[in-house]
Amino acid sequence: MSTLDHLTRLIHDKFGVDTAAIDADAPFASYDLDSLTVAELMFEIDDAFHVTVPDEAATSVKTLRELATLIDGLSAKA
Amino acid sequence: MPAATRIGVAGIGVTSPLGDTLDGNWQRLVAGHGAVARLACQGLPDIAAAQVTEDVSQVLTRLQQVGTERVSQMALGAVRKALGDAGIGAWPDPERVGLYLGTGMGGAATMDAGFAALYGGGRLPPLTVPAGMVNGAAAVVAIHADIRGPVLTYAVACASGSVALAEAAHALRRGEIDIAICGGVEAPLARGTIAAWQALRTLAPPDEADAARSCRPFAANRAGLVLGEGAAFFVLRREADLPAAPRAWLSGSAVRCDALHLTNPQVRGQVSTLKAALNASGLTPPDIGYCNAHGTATVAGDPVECEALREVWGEHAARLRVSSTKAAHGHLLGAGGALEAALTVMALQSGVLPATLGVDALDARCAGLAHVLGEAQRAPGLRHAISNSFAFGGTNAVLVFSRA
Repeated sequence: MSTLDHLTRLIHDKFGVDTAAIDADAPFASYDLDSLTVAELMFEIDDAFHVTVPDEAATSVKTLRELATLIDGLSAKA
Repeated sequence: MPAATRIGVAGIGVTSPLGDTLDGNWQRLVAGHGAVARLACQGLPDIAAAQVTEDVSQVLTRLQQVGTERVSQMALGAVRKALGDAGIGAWPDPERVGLYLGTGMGGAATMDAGFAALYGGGRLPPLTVPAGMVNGAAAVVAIHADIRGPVLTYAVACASGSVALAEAAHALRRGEIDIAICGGVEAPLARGTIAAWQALRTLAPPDEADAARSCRPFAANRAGLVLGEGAAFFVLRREADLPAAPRAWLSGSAVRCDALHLTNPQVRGQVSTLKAALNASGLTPPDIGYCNAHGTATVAGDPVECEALREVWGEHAARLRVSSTKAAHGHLLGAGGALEAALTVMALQSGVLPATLGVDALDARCAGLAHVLGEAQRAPGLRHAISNSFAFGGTNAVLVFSRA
């Protein structure tokens, strides 16, 4: 499973968001993930992907594809 | 007091250990079926506690649940029930609607879980502050019910819910708002919070023969309070704005402080609060047909409350019918006063007085009042009733309700 697919599944499972509504290139807010929800998502990602997402990612990362790229980069360094 | 603006109880909603509807709570209470049971808690001695069994998270979608916790979910559920009972779904001017929410400990379970994770070497969840903050529940209710007037949280320990009702009625009388949503909520059954209450040595152990009888207010063999959880909310309106007959009138209230001790209740402050509440209602002791007592079943508290009632009621004390419904639903702390106010309204509406459960022999220091023991009593002539809340910190609140 690609990182993007894994993230999509995580958002669906944790927040009940319909996977069809998740556009990887659209802002998180377009499928109702507000800043608090993104913070919660980042927290989950650390455990799910065995990485440490930097704190600033919660504000600098705007889309799911950007997040997947960040995670892949962190995993490659690990 | 401003001249005669009567405040009516337009609706009530409860989420309590006695059930998820007000009628269900009342029927169970009057039938004498309490909700106290044994509760195991990891690493601690078992306690007696009264839990809500309804799945309170269902009031929000999983996405909406982000940043919320049990206390905010219970509050929102009970508020929605109260609005339904009042027949209100929306309002033309949300800034004329106020929320007055009492809670002693707010999001205690969130703080508990966060610190447990941190001290265990783990990470603290990012939403610990918004979910755990004491006004978190009020904020969640305001967001989902569109309340844009005053949204206030009263943290007055065991008097929080009663104080919230009293303050809401004042705001209506002052004309600050047109609709008041007010009550209390508490979700204290988390490991660290339970341990803290145990450390204070105020909790009754589970009764070995019958855990449901662990809380025995006014009894010679009472052994302490029993924690409960839940929420109770009222919709209050001025008489002129009521679309239909209210359930009852909130005739008056008073809030005073002992200013003497952090935890020990004092007769002086309770007497002054009782007198002030009667005065605010334009009533005298013989007018009051029922007292829903604070009655926590602590060794120290019950005799003080009974002494205060005897002092204020004087020659009429022996005819004042008194019970503590905490024996059935436990001590809901910041929600206690609101739930007990709801049950006091039901007593007025039904003309039936719930009994204090679990009392075999009354403590002599609690005598001199017409305690309702054993079974519920009929009181068809009941016109006025009071509900007492006497808190840690010394704040006392008394609410006076009258039959509509």
